[in-house]
Amino acid sequence: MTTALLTMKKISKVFETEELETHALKDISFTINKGDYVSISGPSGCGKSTLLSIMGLLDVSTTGEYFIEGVNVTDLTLDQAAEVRNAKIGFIFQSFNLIDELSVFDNVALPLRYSSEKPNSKKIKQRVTQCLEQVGLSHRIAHKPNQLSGGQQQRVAIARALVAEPAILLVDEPTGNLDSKSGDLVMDVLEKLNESGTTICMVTHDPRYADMAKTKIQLLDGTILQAPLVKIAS
Amino acid sequence: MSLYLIKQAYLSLKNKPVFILGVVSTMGITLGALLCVLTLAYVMLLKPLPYPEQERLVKVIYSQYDDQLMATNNTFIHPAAIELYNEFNKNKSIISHTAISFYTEEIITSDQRQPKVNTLYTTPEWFNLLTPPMAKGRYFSQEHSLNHYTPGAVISFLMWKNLFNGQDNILNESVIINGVSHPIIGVTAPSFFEPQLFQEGRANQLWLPWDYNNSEYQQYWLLPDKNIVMFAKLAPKTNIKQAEQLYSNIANDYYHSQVSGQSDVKHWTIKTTFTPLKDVFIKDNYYVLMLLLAGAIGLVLIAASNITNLFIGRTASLHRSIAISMAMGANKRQINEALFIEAVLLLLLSTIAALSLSELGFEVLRLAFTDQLPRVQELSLHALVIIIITLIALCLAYFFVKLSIKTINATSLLQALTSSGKGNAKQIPRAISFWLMCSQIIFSVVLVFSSGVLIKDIVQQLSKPLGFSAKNIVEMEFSVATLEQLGWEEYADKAKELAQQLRLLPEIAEVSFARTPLNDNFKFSVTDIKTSKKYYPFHRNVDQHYLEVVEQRILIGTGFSEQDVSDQTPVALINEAFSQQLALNHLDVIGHKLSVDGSLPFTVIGVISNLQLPTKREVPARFYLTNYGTATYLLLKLKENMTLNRAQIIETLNDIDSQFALTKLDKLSDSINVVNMKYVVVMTTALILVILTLVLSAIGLYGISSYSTRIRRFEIGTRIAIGAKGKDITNMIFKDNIAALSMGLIISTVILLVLYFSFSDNLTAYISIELLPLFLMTLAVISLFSMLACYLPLRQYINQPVIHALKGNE
Ligand SMILES: Nc1ncnc2c1ncn2[C@@H]1O[C@H](COP(=O)(O)OP(=O)(O)OP(=O)(O)O)[C@@H](O)[C@H]1O
Ligand SMILES: [Mg+2]
Repeated sequence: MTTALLTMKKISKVFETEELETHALKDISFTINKGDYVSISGPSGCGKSTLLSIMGLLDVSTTGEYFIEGVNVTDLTLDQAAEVRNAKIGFIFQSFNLIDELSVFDNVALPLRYSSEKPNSKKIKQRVTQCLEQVGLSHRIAHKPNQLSGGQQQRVAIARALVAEPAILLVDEPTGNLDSKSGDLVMDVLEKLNESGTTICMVTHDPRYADMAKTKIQLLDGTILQAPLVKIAS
Repeated sequence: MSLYLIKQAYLSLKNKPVFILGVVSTMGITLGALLCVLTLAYVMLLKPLPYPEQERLVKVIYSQYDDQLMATNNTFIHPAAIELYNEFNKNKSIISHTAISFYTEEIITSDQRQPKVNTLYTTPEWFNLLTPPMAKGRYFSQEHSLNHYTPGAVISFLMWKNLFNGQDNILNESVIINGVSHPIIGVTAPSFFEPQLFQEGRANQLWLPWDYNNSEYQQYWLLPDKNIVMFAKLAPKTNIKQAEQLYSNIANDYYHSQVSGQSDVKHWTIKTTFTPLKDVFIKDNYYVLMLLLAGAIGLVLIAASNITNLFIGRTASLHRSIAISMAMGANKRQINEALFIEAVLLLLLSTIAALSLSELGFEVLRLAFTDQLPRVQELSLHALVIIIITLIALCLAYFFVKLSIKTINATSLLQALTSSGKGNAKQIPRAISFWLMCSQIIFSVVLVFSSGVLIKDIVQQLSKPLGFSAKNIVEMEFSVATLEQLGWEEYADKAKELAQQLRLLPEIAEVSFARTPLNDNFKFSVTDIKTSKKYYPFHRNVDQHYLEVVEQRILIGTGFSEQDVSDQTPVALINEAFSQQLALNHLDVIGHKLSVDGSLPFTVIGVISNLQLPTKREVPARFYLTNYGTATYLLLKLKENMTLNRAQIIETLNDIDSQFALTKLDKLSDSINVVNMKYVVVMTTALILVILTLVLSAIGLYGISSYSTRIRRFEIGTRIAIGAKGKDITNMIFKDNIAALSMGLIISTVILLVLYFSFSDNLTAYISIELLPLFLMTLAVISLFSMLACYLPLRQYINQPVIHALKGNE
């Protein structure tokens, strides 16, 4: 049985600057189900990152409606959006976005500290260690991010994305800043996570990695070119 | 440093007008302020007095000590001064020249306008010692010395311009003063600065030979003559201490030979002291200067901390181009040099701005301090000060660059080039932003609070009830040209008649023969007959209308009656302050018998309310005796909303006696306003300082915080992306800054305490527990400023979708 985790209806995004309007997304509609592994690909500037930002509630759409687990999240306040991100969404950025001053442990623990459930420190420790084990970095727990290699940093970022047990992982070019060996390692981790039930939506340029996904979305100039396996929401 | 580098610096600055304007205006204004105060310090402390062999010039001080060796007076006794002058002249190997002078104001009766001018009666040495540059003619010579009675007048440049329209044949003119015609023999040049030995800010307009002074105290050995000033030039090898000792003995012996009949002063001692002229000027003003200096330095420090931040921001914006230059082979030294040249150019521009503002600053200082500080008229740019300011500017340039360079980490810069961008190369060391913030808080708390204390004190001073009503009172004085020949008895009745005539004028409500209540003239030694205890209250002579005219209240007892005045009944009024010295209860004071300088006892018949002089902090003890009900000075109380017509008063005077000439007709409230004006100027300066400080520190705090927020934007964005709410981020930033804030508050409190304890002697008048609210308010305002400064730059990140913080566009 498939449950709709995330549904977009006629989402558009227009960037307005003084000189010109950019229609980055035009009437995007699709659904991602629980357990899915979706890849989004397309040429540079076609709107992949923009789409991912709106999916992750980092940005708001210009028109259209957006549902997460059946709840309309189109018009949330900034703080409500923050709460939903914290509880439901895990992010993995192309440039890792780890916080330099914090240790690996504290970086991973960060989402738990902002969570409304306020877990106690024992619980936090348990959960963080568990996640770091999952990405194979439990021996680097006290390091600072700049003492790690790029691939290790990205795996820390994955652990951080997982720690609050989100409903979906949103991943933007996870291997963009990595060599192919580290990239493969990161992709392995993601694949394992999906196998154990985590829903993943990933933006990637690399056709090799895109093919690993069960569902492929192709974007061109802000519209979905081809989404054969995705049931288009009506 | 090559021309090429300078050109590069110029080119790189050229399209940064906001940055240039920020640096040059902030540093220009604050360095300008420092320049002015340093010039003042130079003029007051270092600049030689503009007189030949000035280091040997001393002011002669004549002091009387009572039996308890308390100084009762630092004023000359008229005949003693002449005697001392003669003594000095006897032995030129100790003191080579002495000038004795008498400061007063005189009416020029030869001028139809009857102008009153600042006049100095003096001996030729006054000119020989000071050698004033002359615009015309010559100054006094041997013929004008003591007991030669040769008339002659030297006038000031201003007087020549104003009263004689600068006429060319001025040396053919003469002035008539007190019936004597003095030919004008010289005009001083405008470049002459006379030493302010009598009163700060006073400039003489007319110099006359000593012999013609008409001091009322010429014959009195028991009354000091406060208008006499003596200064001298020591012989080259004179030992000051020995000379003081020698002349103290001589003066003391002579004094006792003259006052031997007076039991009152039998055990008094006379001392003469010689104070170098320069020290005379500095003594009381040292700490005003220090405060000004501290204020100016504080401003420069705040500004420097602001600009440091600007420089760090600017260097950060250059990181990429610096990295590219390094990649192309530039070494660290070359990079530093380029930055340093830029900074030097900017700071030199600021110095030029400061120099061009200096004349304005000097004018403000002259306006505010002419009557408080010596030699402010001599303020002008001096090479030494310019060099110091330029050096300070260069040091600041070096400091700015040094700190900015700390933020450049060569390796991470190069790494940032090879990776795609969002690296951590732009991290400003936390310690630097901590101390920048901290220093802003320290300087602003100290400056704002100290200025606040000054302002509060002045407001308090200005709002003190005077204890009398200056409203509708006019001070009037007239002179009688032929007084010397005929004596006052001739005119006493006419003066009474004058009062009657004045009372008949429709504008006038009441008339009193009394001097302005705004001056304390003489302290007398007064003995309480019962206890034989001595007091030194100020003395005033008034008639029966005085209390009514100035609306001073009688607290207990009665005022003078008409009979008291006409019969010269030995009765006295005392003020509350004196009453408190005499007895615990005002009631007990009535009937007390007081002897003034060994005279017949006076009976206290009333206690009157304290009269607060606008210039003084405390009310001294005063006692009032009757005058004869006649005088050449009067107080006129006008009816509500009335003004006096000068011509009418002159006419009234003329009707009584053609010899009566009006010499003064001033509103009392105007004199009070003149005094208050000075306070207002000082207060305005302090207020400007507060505003400048607050503006500078607001800009500074905001700049520091907005810069450090900007470089933390990815971190902030990331935190928000993974679920932090606006509140979480605000709290985090506050927490990060609270350490700097508390450190700043603590250090500034410590500095203020240290200041207080090291200057407590001078500051006790200003400091009281009532300042605590002011202090807390200062802390609160500065804390609020820092909190706002932390919060405002955050708004753009927490009030918009987080994608704005995360995206790399600057
Ligand atoms: N803040 C913005 N203001 C204006 N236009 C924007 C803004 N952000 C993105 N765009 C435009 O929207 C379009 C989509 O941008 P987006 O970053 O989503 O592309 P992308 O598919 O992620 O490209 P890439 O593969 O290069 O990362 C582009 O044409 C871009 O120029
Ligand atoms: Mg992208």
